[in-house]
Amino acid sequence: MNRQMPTTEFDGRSLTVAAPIPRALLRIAATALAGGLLSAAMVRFSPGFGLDEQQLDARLSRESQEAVLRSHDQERNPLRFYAAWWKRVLAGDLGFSQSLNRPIRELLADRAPATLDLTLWGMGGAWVLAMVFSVPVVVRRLRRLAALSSVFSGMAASLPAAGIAILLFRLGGSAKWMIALVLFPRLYQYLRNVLQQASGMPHVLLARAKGLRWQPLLWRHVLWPARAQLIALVAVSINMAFGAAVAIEAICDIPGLGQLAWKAATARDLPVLVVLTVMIALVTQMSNLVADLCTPAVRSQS
Amino acid sequence: MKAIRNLAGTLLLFLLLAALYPSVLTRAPYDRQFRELPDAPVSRQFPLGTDELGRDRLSRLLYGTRVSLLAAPAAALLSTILAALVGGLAGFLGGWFDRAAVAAIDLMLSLPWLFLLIMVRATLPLNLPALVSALVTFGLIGLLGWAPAARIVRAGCRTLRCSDLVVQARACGIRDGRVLVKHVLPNVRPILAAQFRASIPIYILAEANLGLLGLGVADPLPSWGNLLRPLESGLAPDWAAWAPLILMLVVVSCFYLTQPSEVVVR
Amino acid sequence: MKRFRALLTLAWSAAAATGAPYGGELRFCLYSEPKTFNPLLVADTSSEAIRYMTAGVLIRVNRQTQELEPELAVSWRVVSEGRGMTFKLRQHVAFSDGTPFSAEDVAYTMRTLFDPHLHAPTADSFRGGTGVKIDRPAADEVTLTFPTPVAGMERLFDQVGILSNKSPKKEMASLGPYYVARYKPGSEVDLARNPYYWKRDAQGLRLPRIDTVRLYIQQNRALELIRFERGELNLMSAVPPEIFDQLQARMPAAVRDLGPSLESEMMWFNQSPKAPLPAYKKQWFQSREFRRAISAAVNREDLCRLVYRGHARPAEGPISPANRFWFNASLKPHRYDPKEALDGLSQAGFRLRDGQLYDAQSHAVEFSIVTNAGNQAREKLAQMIQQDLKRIGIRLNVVKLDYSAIIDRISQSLDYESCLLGLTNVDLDPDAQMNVWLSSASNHQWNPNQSSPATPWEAEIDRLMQAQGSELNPAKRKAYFDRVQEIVSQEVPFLYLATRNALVAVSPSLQNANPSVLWPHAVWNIEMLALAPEVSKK
Repeated sequence: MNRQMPTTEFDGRSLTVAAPIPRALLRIAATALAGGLLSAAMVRFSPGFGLDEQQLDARLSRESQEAVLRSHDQERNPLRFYAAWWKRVLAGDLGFSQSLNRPIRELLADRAPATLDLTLWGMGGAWVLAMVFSVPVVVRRLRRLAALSSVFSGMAASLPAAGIAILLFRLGGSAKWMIALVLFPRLYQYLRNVLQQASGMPHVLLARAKGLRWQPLLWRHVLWPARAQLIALVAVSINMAFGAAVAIEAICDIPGLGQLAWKAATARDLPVLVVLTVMIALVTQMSNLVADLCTPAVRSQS
Repeated sequence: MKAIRNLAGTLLLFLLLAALYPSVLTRAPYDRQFRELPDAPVSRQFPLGTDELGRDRLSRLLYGTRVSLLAAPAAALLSTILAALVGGLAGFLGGWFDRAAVAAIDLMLSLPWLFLLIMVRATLPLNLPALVSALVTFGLIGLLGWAPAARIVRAGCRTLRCSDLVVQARACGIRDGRVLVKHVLPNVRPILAAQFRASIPIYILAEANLGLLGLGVADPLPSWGNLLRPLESGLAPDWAAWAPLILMLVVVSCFYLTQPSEVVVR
Repeated sequence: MKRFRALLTLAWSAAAATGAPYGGELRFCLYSEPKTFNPLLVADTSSEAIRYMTAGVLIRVNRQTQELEPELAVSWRVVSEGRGMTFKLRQHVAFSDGTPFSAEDVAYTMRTLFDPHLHAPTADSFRGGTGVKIDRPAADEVTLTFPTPVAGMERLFDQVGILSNKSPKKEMASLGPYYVARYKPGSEVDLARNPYYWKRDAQGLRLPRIDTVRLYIQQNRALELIRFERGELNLMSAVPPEIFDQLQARMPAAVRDLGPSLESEMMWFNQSPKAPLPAYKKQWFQSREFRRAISAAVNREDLCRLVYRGHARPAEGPISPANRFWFNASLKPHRYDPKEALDGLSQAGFRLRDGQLYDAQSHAVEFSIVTNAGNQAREKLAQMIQQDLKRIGIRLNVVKLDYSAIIDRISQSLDYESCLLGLTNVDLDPDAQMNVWLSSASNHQWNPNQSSPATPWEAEIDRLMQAQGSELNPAKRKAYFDRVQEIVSQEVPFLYLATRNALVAVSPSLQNANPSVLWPHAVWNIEMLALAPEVSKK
């Protein structure tokens, strides 16, 4: 296959930009649309949809209980609901949360800063920890540190999130560290193995044998060749961070998007869940697109 | 280091045997409630004491180890295989398959799978044997956990697709399938190994969280997940109540310590 | 206005100087996000807590004496043969923004409450309230007349918060001791002292004593415990038993076991003929002997001792002993007797073979019980019942589901076999449980929405409930409901398991605390509470 692809010059090597951007954006939009619809269908057909704990309130008359059920009538057909929802979104209205009794736009505006703060700091902390533990292990071949790092990573992975929350709370620590501790084991494992593979390449062994210092060895011959996987790992860690945020915000009662997602899920709040799914789909795909754009299809490994 | 690896391996083997043959270490069934002895301290009759319902903690721990130590790695293996298949094929083949796979992966990462799990629970019969509930739970976890690793495997395979290695293999007339299996996937094995190892404790804890949706290992069959849940409040009557957590830390650490330290590039 | 506030401050300062502490911030937790601040639309616990502290009501049920007390109504009388009430209203009262309170506000509140489109639980409690007639016989009087007699009408007004007809703040203008000053969604609600609150203490000084109340929205009880121990919170309500015991060891002066609350745990079998269950299982569940045998097989003492650590007692029936007037003291909890259980089952045609019970058609007796996941006490109850039934050869499968899925099964699909849930009675009067006991009602859990009573005893319960609902004489009403409780004890549609004790923790810095077994426990007399001077000054 000999297709013409746009190229750019970078550091003296030619990179092939992975995919035309407009097509990728179209794909992202289509996937987000599909994700929203699938999410709507899943919530709609899950048991307990359209019901409320008010069903068990013995004070309510039959008419009132039927009114509670009827309040979800517009959501019963997921296709129709979804089409109407997009119409409203294009007019700037994200809908109303019945379970929390507030406009969704207000809910997002109130809660997004907490989640952004938590996930960015948590991701940063996790990456720092993962790099601190994996780089010396790989580059300096410190086996004892490797063993210690493995044990620490295993311990961090084994602790239940709620237990970490209590521990941190007692010590006066912040929930940001929780995200870091939850993400760190996975990041460390991936990072260490990716770097180990990169450092096992023949050219690295040669460079090491020739006495190259560890800093240029690390940057030029270990991290640079592994950049595709590292960038993909960054993109994936954004999604993992949000997943961790859902659990941590629910446990620590932090009023962020993660807690909103959990509350909406338990209450089967369809409009909120569709909004969150579309948002997560867009963020996930945009970050993956950026990762893909930065991924070189290199002609040579050296 | 080799000595540490051997020690870790031996410890793992011992724990696995203890979990498979718990009657050697304790006679009490895991579900029997000695109601006159709730929260009993460590004693000869109960080496780890009893829980709040008077059940032998050691017995529950050993049976729970059996469930989690067998099921969680199986689930991790399932998700690793799926990540290898989807991510490997997507990265290697490229084109429309890659685009479709990427869309599928991104959807997997975005959708609220909570509802799929709730729907699965709704379709399962109410009177489900505990063992089947354990298999279903871990099976679901494995089926839903492959997406992040697939992304990274894909990135690695995309890079390898244009490498000299693969170009030469193709030039020699080796078919794509063989190139993928023999030359590409082995080079992303470190990622897959990382996925496998990292997933085991995560899946054990995920099983406990699935208990909140009605999935999870059904009572009275213990698992590490449901043994750890009471500890989430940070309140425990004595040190022996922390045994499930300590054991899990030991097992996972041993597991990580047994991994080979060097990666060979083919 | 400024001079008035200055005078108030001076008065409070003078009071503080005489030793009665004023000021400070009371801090405790709500366990879920409040859904509304409109007193008429309250349906969840957190919103109810805020309503209790902010809304003014005509009549208050004193949580300690369980008697009715005048609030915004200085007196009242029942009129029109129990179909109505006339209230004489308190004068010189104002809302938190200074808007004067008048009979028109009561009329406006009632018109809004009984709007047929509102569907407020409080309105439905009046049963037939949509046909209410509102009269103003005098400037300071309001008469409400309903189409049919409303049993125990007076105590229902404890839940009707009065709205202002004129205030620009609408439902946010309050007549209670506090008003909602700030709301940070997901995080906290701040209440500030109502400067126009009408109530005074014995020395004639205005109330409340505490300046502000901060309500943290915190679901995690373990984190709440840590904050209480640190002094960041002044009280904890509905303390879980294991946390209570820990606190008792560390801060014995702070914890109080108030005795039986109105809350209990119960299980029931699905007796609906429409349930998608095998016919032989329906036969089991519809058999009184089967239900009585299961009840006899459950060791309630052990449940209370192990699950609730002694902070509960075996339940006698739907009414807790905490409900002084309505409790039927002649009832006793079903005795634990596995032999009696097996005898009863054998009389019903069941046989025990090799440790497994079989029915007359040789079906192994095995069924499931659904309960809500995440409630650790209930999960333990289910596990203990599982063991108890195993002793008589019955295999019980515990199925934990999320709450919405449970509601779906027990109220819509009816696809369940038995269910274990809790019962929370906020209202003392059993008339509030009408929709549980009437066979035609949707909350008649074991067999809802019957077109006609399926059994003679359900028909009898229907008759008794309707009789007590239209009877004005409290003694006669009690006699009717006592009989309902006796029938329930004999027929066992519900197996009442345990009545939980009310467990609270109150910081020693909180003065005048006199927690009640009735909700809202420690803050039922919030206007009288005070913080110790060193805490007030913080």
